[in-house]
Amino acid sequence: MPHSDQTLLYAWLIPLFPLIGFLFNGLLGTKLPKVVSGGLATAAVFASFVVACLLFQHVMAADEAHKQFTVYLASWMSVPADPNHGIHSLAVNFELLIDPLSVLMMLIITGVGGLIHLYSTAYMAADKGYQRFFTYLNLFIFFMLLLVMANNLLMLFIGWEGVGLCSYLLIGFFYEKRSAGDAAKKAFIVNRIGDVGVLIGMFFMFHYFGTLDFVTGHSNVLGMTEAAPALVAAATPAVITTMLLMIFFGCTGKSAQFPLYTWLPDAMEGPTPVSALIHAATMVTAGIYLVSRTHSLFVLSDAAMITVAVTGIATAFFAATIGLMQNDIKRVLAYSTVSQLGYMFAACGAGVFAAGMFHVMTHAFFKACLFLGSGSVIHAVEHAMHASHGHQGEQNVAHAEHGDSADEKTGGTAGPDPNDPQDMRNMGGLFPRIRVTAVSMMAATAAICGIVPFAGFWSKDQILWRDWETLAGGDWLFWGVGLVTALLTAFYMTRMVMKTFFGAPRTEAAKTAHESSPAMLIPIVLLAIMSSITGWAVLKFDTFAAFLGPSVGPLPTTHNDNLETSFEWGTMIAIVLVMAYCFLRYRASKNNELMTPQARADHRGWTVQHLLPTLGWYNWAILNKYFVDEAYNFWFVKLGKKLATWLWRKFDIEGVDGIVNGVGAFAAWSGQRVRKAQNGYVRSYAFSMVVGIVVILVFVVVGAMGLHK
Amino acid sequence: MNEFHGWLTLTVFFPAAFALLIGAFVPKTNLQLIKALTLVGTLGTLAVSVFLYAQYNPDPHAPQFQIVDKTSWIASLHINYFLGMDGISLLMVLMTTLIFPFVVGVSFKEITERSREYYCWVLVMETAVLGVFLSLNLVLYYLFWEGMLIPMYFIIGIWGGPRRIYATVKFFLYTMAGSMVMLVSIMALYFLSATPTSPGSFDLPELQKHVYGGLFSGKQVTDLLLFTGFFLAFGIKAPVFPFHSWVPDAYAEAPTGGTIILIALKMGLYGFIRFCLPLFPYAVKHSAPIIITLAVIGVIYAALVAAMQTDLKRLLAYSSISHIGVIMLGIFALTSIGMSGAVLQMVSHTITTGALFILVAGLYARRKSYQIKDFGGLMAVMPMFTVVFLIATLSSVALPLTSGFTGELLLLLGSFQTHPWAAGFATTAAIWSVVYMLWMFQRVMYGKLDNEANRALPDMTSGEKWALFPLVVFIFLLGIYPTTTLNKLNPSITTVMAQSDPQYNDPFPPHIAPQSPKTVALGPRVAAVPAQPKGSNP
Repeated sequence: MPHSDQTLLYAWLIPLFPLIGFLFNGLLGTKLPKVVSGGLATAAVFASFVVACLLFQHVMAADEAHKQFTVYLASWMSVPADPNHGIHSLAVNFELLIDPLSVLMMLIITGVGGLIHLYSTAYMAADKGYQRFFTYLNLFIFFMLLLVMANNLLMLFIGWEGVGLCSYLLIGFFYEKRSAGDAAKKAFIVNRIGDVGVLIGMFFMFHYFGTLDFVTGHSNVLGMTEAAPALVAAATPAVITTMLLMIFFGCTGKSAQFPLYTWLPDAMEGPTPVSALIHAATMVTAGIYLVSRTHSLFVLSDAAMITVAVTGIATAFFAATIGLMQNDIKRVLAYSTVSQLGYMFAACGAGVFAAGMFHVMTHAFFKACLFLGSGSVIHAVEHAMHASHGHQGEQNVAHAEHGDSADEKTGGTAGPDPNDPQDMRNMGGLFPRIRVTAVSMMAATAAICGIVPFAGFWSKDQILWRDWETLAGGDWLFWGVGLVTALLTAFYMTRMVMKTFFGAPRTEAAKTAHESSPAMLIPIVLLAIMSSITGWAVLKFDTFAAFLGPSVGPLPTTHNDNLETSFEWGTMIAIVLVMAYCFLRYRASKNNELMTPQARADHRGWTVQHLLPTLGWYNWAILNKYFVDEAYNFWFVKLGKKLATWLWRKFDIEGVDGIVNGVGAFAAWSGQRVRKAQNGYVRSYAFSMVVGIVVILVFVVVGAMGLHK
Repeated sequence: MNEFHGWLTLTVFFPAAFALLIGAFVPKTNLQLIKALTLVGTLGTLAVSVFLYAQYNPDPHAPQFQIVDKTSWIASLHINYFLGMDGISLLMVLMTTLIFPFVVGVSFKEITERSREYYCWVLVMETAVLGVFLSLNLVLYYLFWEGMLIPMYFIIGIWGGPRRIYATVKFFLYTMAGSMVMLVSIMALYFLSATPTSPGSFDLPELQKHVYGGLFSGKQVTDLLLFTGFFLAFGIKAPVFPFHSWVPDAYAEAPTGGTIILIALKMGLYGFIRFCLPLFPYAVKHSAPIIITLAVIGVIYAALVAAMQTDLKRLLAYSSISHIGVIMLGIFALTSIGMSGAVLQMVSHTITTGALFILVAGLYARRKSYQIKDFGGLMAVMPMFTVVFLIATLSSVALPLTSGFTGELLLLLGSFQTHPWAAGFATTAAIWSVVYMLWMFQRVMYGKLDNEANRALPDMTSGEKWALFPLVVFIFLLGIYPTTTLNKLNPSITTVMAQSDPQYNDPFPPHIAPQSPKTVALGPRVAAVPAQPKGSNP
C-alpha cells in the first residue's frame, strides 16, 4: 500500500535544483560568463541526479509491498463539495509520488539530461543565445521532473504543458529563422490538441473518482489506482473507454503518434542537444509514462488497450517507411523516434507496461547517443563549411545559419543545399576523421536495430515476443508488422551510417571535418556504452520488470516460452541480413568523390527505390511523407483560415454588427421623421400631452390591478 | 436595521473625493501634482481594500455579507443606502482597486491634453465601478451602473483613437439600451415584492426572501421576463455573443487607460452571480441551456475571428470575448467549482489582458502602430519586453502555474460535471487561444528584424517595468498559490450556490420543476456523494 512519508521531503530538491538553475540563468542572463552559466545549469541537473540516486536506494530498500511513497508539500487549489448537485470536493495538492516508475524516470531524465547539458556546454559554445539556451534547458528539466514525480493528474499536467512550452521555446530557439518559428508554433498547437484530450479525460476521472490523485494522497478518497476496480462496477464500458481514449489522445500528441505525429520531424529545427533530450530521450516518452502510470485504468477497457496497441504498431511501421527516404540526418532520427515510440505503445497496448518502459530506457540511451552523435557530425561538417567559405569570424551565428528547410519544400526532389551541414548528401567518408563519434554511433545503431547483445535487442525482442503472446487473435499481424518495422529500421539506420561515415567524401567540408571536443565526446561515449551493456551486463529485463512491478503490475504470464528463443534469433538473423544487404548495395553503388551539386541532385541519395524499382508511386508518396502535412495544411489551416475570415468579415462585421448598426440607423431615421412632430404649435404639444397622460393612466391602473390580484 | 461601519463607503468614495480635490483646487497646469494626487487616490483605495481583504473572515458560518453599510436613504420610496461585501465582491473590489493604479500609470505618457479632466474622470469611474460591486440596493446599484457610462463616454470620446466618436456612441447607446430594460425589471421587482402589509423593497436580501417565499409562484412568464431584463443588461456589458460587437470598437478606440478600465468592467458577469442567480433561480435553471449554448458559440466563434485580426488591439478584444464565453459557461453550469473558477478567471483575465494591453501600448508608443505586420523580430532588440510579453501570452492561453490556468481549469472542470458536452467544446479554447496568441507572438517577436523602423527600438523602459512586473507577480501568484484567495471565496460561493438552487423551497408545481440534482449527466459513479437532506434556506 502507498503511504505518506514526509521524511522524503528532500525529494523536492530534485525539481528544485533545475528550477534554481533556471531562475539564476534567466534573471542574470547574459551578465554571466558562459562557463558559469553552462556549468551551473549542468551542475544543477547532476545534483538532482545524486538525489534521485538516494531515492532509488530508498525505494530499493523498502519491502516489496511498500514501495510507493507520497510526499506532501502544500495545497494547490481546493473547492468544497457541492452535495446538492452531487459534486465531489476538489482538493489538488503539490504532492510527489515516489515509486519505482517515477524513480526510473527521474534517473533517466537527470542522468541522460545531465550528460546532454554537459554536451551542450561545448556544442552551443559559439552561440550568442548561450545563456538563454541553458535557461530553457533547466526549465525543461524542472517541468519534466514535475511530470514524472506528480501524484495527481493536474500536477502532472503542469509538467505536461510545461515541457510543451520548453519544447516550443527550444524549437524556436533560432527565432530569426522563419521555419524555426513555424515549427515551434506547430509543435505547441499540435500538443495542445492532444492536451484537450488529457483535460477532458481528467474531467471524466474527477467525475467518477472525486479525486485526481494517482494513489491515496492527502484527500480522504482513494487514489485512482486503488479505486479502479470499483469503476468497473460503477461505470459503463463506454464511459471507461471514452475516458481512456481521451487520455490516450493526449499521449499521441506528446509522444508523436498518429494522427498527431507531424510536429516531431519539424521539431528538428531546434538545436541538436534539444532533439536528443526533449525529442528523443525524455519528453516524447511522457505519453508512455502516462499510460503506464494509469495502467490500472487502461486494463479495464479492452477497446482502449487495442487502440493503444494498433496506434502504436501502425505508427511504428508508418514512420519507419518515411524514414527510408529522408536525407536530413536529424530527420531520419526523428522518424525513427516516432517509430520507436510506436513500439513502446504497442507494448503498453499488449499489457506489458514493463517492456514499454524498458524500451523507454534503452531508447533514451541509444537515441540520445545517436542524436548527440549526429550533432557531433553536423558540428564537424559545419565548421569545415565555415572554414571553407571563410566566416570563422561570425561564429556567434554558428548553428542558426545553415538551415535544412531548402529541400523540404520540394519534397526532396531537388538537390541538397551545398551549405546544409545536416544533409547526408553533403557527407560521406567521415569515419576516419571523426572516429570516436562514428564508433559510438555505430554501437547505438546496432542497439536500435536490435543486434545482440546491444540494449535495443533486449527491449525490442521483449516487445515483439510479448505482442505475439498477449494479443491473441491478431497475434501474427501485430508481430508481423512489428517484425517488418524492425527490418525497415535496420535498413534506414544502416543507410544513415553508410551515407554519413563511409564511401568517399562528397563535399570539400566532409573531407576536412575533424572531431569534436571532449565535452561533447564524453557524453556520446558514455551513452554508447550504456547502449551496449544494458540488458545483459546490467539491468536484465527480468530484474527490471520485477523492480517496476509495484508500479506497473506484474508481467502477464506467457504460454509458449519455448518459442521465445527461436523468435529472438530468427528476428535477429533477418535483421542482420537486411543490414548486410544494405551495406553491400551501398558499397556497390555509384558514389563519386566530390560530386558537383547537380550530380548530387541527380544522385538523390541511395534509397528504397533501388530496392523496389517498380514501385514508383510508392517512392513518390514516401518522399512526400504521404502528404499528411499537406492534407492537414489544406483541411485545417487553409480552410480554417477561410472560415475564420468569413466569420469575421461577413458574419461578424456585416451580420452581427450590421444588425446593431441597422438598429441605430433605424432609430436615427425614425427620429428624423418624428422630428416633424415638433412643429412649434402649442396646440399639437397639448394634444400629445393629453394622449400621453391617458396612456400612462391606463397602464398604471391596469398594472396595479394585475399586480395586486 | 441600520448598520454603518463606514469601511465600504470609504472604499467607494475615496477616489471620488480625490477627483473633487483635483478638480476644485489643483490648477490645470500643475500636471505633476494632478498625476501624483490621482496615483495617491487610487493607491489609497487599494490600501483600504487590501485592509478589507486581510480582515475578511472566510468562516462558512459567518453572515453572507460580513461588512455592511446600511442606512435609510429615500424613506418615502423605501430606498436604502446599502453597501455590503462578501467573498465575491471582495475579490472584485480588490481587482478593481489593483488595476486602477495601472490605468493611471499608463496614462502618464499617453494623455497629453486636458489631463486634469482625464484624471478626474478616471477617479470618478473608479468610484462608480466600486459602487456597482458593493451595492446591495437595486436603486443605488442602478445609479452606480449608469454612472459608469458618463466617465467612460468622455474617456473614449475625448482621448480615444481616430474612430472614437463612432465607438463611444455605439458603446453608450448599446449599454444604455440594456440598462433600460434592467430598470424596468428593477421596478417590477419592487412592485411585485409589495404585500398588503408591507411596501416593496429594493434590497437584495429582502428580495431574496420574497423569492424564496414564492414571489414568482405561478408566474413563470413574469420570472422569465424580469430575468431577461437583467440578462440583457449584463449580457451586453459582459459581453455575451451575440451582443459583443461594441467591444472591438470600444477596446480599439479607447486610450490604453480606458481599454484597461473596460477590461476590468466585470460587472456584467458579477451581476449574473450577484443578482440573477439568487433572484431568478427558476428562470436561470431553465434558460441555462440557451445561455450556455451562446457562451460556447462565443468561445469558439470569437477565437476564430481573433485569429484573423491584423490589429493587435482588436485581436485582444476578440480574445476577451472568447474568454468571457468560458466564464459564462462556468457561471450558468451552476457548480461551485465552476463558480469559483469564474470569479478567479475574472480577476485573472483583468490582470492578464491588462498586462497585454499595456504591452501593446508599449509597442504603439515605439512605433505608432497597432498593426501586426509592422512588427517582427522584436526579440532581437527587446529581449526583456519579449519575455514579459510571453508570460502574459502564456497566462492568456492558460498555461499551468499562471493565473489563467487556475481560472480556466476550475471553470471547465466544474462545468463538465453538469454540462459535459458544452464543457468539452469549450475546452477546445485551449487550442484556439494558442492558435491566435502564439501566431500573433510569432509575427511580432520572432522572425527576422527586417523592418528598418524596428531596428533601434528600446527595450523596456523603467515605467513599463513598474507597470508590468507587479502584474507578472500576480499572474504567478494566482497561478501557483490560489489557495488563500479560494479560501476567502469558497464560503460565499457555497452560499450563492445554495441560494440559486430552486430545490430549496421550490415554488413551482412538480411537472415544471427542474429535474432532481441527484441525476448526474454522465451516469453512475464510484463513490456516491452522501446525499444531503433537503435543507431549508440557509
